[in-house]
Amino acid sequence: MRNSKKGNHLAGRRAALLFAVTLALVMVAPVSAADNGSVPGQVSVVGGGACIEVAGVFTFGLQPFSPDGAIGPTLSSTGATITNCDATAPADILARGTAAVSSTDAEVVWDLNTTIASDGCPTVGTDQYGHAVFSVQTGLGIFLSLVDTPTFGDQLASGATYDIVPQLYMPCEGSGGAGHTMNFSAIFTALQG
Amino acid sequence: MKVSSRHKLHLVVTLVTAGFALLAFAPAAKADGGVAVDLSEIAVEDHLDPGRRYELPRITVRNPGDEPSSYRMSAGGVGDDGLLDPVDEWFSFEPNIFELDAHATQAVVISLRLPEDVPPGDYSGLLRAELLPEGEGSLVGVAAGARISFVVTEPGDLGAFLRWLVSIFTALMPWSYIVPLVLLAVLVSALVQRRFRIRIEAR
Repeated sequence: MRNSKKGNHLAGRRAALLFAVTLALVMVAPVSAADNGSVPGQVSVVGGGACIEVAGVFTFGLQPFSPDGAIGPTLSSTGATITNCDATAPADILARGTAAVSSTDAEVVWDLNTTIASDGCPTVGTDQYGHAVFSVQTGLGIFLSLVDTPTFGDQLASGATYDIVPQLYMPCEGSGGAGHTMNFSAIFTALQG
Repeated sequence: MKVSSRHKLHLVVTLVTAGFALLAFAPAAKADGGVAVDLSEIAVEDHLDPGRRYELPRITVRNPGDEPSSYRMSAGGVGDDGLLDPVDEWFSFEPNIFELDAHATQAVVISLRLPEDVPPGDYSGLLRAELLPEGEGSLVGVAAGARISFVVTEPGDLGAFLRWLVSIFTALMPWSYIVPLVLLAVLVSALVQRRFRIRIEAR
């Protein structure tokens, strides 16, 4: 009888120990799962990704700030060409721009503005610039914003090219950056499907 | 007509004083090159929970050009009507910036960490492999993109709690099976010993 009680006590202690270990593991689990990351169970992946190539640069040279009541586009003296280098599929072409930042003073920044041509100076304010791109082939184009946006209408066929003509709208007089080289980009993103 | 260096200096000073900005001295900017990816779309069909991190399928980036080039990974929205834009900071790419020789490829590991306060809803955006143009001034860049879409649940959702439990169970395998089974065996054994007396003897 005494042996039976002792056995029961021992089994109870074992069970308590295992319960404590299990509890500890469960408490640690959320941290482990969050740190390691988990793969979502249902993910559908479509292959056959996009391919795009670019050649050429935009050259705007030396430009004055825009005076009040007279804002107009500046054309680049050179153009760029983008090519859908995928062997089989057409691609949507999206475009986005960036802020313009001085190459010598990072605090001199011009923000990208999509309404500068209609607002004009001085309405649009200082330190705002506009950057538009057009396709020679489709004649369509957009003012660049910071978000990828469908640009030239049709999809670009496999192996086909778009010749890109850019336009620049200089900031209003009184903006910063006089005498600086300003760095900015037009980025064309190819997307299949 | 020859212009002396003194006159050139005078011209530059005059233009700067007049408020000119010097833009894009081409051909300082080198933009020629290209980029390709092997996926066009990643659609996450499971609903995702705020505050958690998820690993996404890898994407392979290829340099289709004949020159070595540098690349950067990024993510962003596409401004789809009615859909929310994912934020670049939610994604991490390994590697994030890398160089590729001509025609070389690089597999990129992608993970998505949703903030605790991410608004619930349907998200649609782009994962981009972007050619890094060199130089200064007005640069022309290109990127190859893959669409990504996912749905974020409401915080405190019962489904989210169940998915959390399942993910813990999966993350701790095989211990998530072994520990409860051993625990159950010990409890059953303790109960059996308490109620019955079993004696096993060799005859």
